Amino acid sequence: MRAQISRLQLALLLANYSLSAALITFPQVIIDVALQNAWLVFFLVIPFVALLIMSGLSGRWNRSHWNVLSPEVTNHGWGAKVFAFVLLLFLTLVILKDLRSFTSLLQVGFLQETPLTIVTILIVLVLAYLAYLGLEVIARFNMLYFPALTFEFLFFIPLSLVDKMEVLNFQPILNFKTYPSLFQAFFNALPWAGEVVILFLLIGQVQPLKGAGRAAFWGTTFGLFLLYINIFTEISVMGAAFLSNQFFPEYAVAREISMTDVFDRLDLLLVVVWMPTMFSKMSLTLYGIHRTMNVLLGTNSRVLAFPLALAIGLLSLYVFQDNISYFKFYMTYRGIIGLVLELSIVALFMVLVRIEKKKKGTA
Amino acid sequence: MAKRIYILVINFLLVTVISGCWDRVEINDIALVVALGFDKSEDGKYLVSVQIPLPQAQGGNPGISGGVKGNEGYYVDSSIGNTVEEAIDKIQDHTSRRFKFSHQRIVIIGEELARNGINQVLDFINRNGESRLSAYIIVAKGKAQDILNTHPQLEKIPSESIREMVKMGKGKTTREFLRDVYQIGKDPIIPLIQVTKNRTNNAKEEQSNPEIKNFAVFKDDKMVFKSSPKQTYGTFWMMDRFKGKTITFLIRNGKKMSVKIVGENRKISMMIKEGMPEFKVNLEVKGIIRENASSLNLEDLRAIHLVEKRMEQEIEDQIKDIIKKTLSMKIDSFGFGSYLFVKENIQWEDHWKKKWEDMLPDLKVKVHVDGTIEHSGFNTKGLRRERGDE
Repeated sequence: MRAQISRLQLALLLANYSLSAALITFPQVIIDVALQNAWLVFFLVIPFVALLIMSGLSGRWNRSHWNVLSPEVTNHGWGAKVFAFVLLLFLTLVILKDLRSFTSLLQVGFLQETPLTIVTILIVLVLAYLAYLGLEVIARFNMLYFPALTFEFLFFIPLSLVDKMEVLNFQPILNFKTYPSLFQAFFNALPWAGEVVILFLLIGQVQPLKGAGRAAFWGTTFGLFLLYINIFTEISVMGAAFLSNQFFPEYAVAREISMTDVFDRLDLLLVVVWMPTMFSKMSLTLYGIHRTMNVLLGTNSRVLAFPLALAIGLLSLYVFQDNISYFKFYMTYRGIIGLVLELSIVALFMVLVRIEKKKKGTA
Repeated sequence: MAKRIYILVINFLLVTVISGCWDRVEINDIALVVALGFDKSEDGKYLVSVQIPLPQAQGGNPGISGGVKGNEGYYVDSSIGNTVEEAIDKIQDHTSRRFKFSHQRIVIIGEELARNGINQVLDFINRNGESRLSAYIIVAKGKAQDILNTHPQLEKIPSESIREMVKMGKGKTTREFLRDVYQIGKDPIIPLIQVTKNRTNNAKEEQSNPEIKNFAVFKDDKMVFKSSPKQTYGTFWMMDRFKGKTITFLIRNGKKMSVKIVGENRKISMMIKEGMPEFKVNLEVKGIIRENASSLNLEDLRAIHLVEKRMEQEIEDQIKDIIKKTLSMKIDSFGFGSYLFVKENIQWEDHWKKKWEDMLPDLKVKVHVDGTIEHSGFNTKGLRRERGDE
């Protein structure tokens, strides 16, 4: 039976895709450049997201046109294979970045003595299992945990820190001297927001199809809204100058939360709520890698998820032997490679659906 | 068949990796560090002290809580190292339980170390995922180690006693201190604590207590001077943290009056004159008379106005004293530069940022206090007035 997800599930998957992993180091990436104005990047990024989704889904199509990497088909054409290859590259970069930043945070914050290899293997095995179970399970898993994360970031964290927020921390808001840094931060933020292009892998499995584009847009916007609310909270509590020197600004803020002398330290609790959503995002990425590999190999194997996950785990350990090398890597990735791949995916998708329509029209 | 082999391999891998986490530690194997003290040793290295509560002395389960030394509820140990971490490692080497810093509440810096710069201490605290930035940071007059070994009467652990004191509006957390260091146009200012003996005529009850009387004024990460009592009051006003405290001032004929402050609102405004910034500190204060040692008739409205005027004058002097002292030493403890960065960002970046330090001694700051006595207390004229004493 063909795996299908609802529009709400799609929206929540994309919301989580924009939010969960970005929480780790993304705030530092833009605060370092735009300082107290970093939260304003949200308003610049949203039109870019809308543009990506609208241009990708422009035109009148039906499901068969959109499902360019259909899992039911084993002999895809060369066009689909090129698309799958570009998606594979993009998703591999995303998962390497997410996995390494996740393990890096766990290592420095919680599990200092547990070898990185073991932590990585444990994580990739969970990811492999979720990816093996398929898109529907990932979507349901995400629906289970994402609302908790929403509550945490929309209400719990801002309200717990409201007495520590200072208006002066996000001033001066804007002037012509701050525009260049704001636009630099906007450019840095593009590839992160552009991760929404995973939509073009999932869109063929959304049921009902009508309104799927709108669901994708609002889902991503909601995820980004939570992300930037969080950046706003971070800046107002800690100050931009201090945060720009932190590898994990969000964790620094979480360490500040205390409710009376009894509930004095809640960072572990907050991390426990957030961790499943990381698994949700990374398993979706792994699922995408798994599907694109099947397209490239001309197979339809579910168990391929396990060796792929292990390979990714080992690759992340081999390529990024320290946290600085991965940090440098994604500083490069965010700028050019990621953006080029994301735009290529949109362009290729647009071409492929038109080819598909033409083929189906003539058939 | 291939599927079964895969599942078998995965199960095997799972069994090998989920058998136990390397970071697992039993509660009876840990020692919770609640306070850290940092001093400079005689040979210029770091003398680090840790304070650990002994839960059995606090009423905990002896099975899991560790022993009790004498009748004290805590244990302090110190060691010297080239770095903070090395010193802590040395203490750990002769401690049977593993240190956990996640419940650390107080960071005390010895005066000598503070004057030499605490960059390395801040780096240790900020870099270590276990330690917390919500811990209060204070400077010790003398050695931090001595403060950790005091014996407060009302709390079982000195760190808890100090924390309660600094919580009453006096303290700054490590986060606030770090933010001030990083912030443009602002220098940190934190409480200075010292050991005092309690005054009792019973020698057996004589104990050393921690006491906060002054502020340590920093330039970046280095302490420059400690505030005088008058400057300490001025600092409280400038930090907007005087509410709940009492101000005592001369009212007439060498007699004094005490007013409890029940409300305060400090605002800083700025104007630019001939390309130079000038600041005005406006302070609105509300108070209730708590003690009238003078013969002033407080039923008379003119007397109330006199009290208000004297109080305003006293507060103004206190504020001016600390502002004058800090600015003359090129220290921006109250964030005038930060205010310019926010309000006049373009001019700050273009004209003042680079020479701000040199501008500080000549910076014009006016102080205006608007005091209101909201209540004269339960008494009307007062006992001496009734008797006609003067």
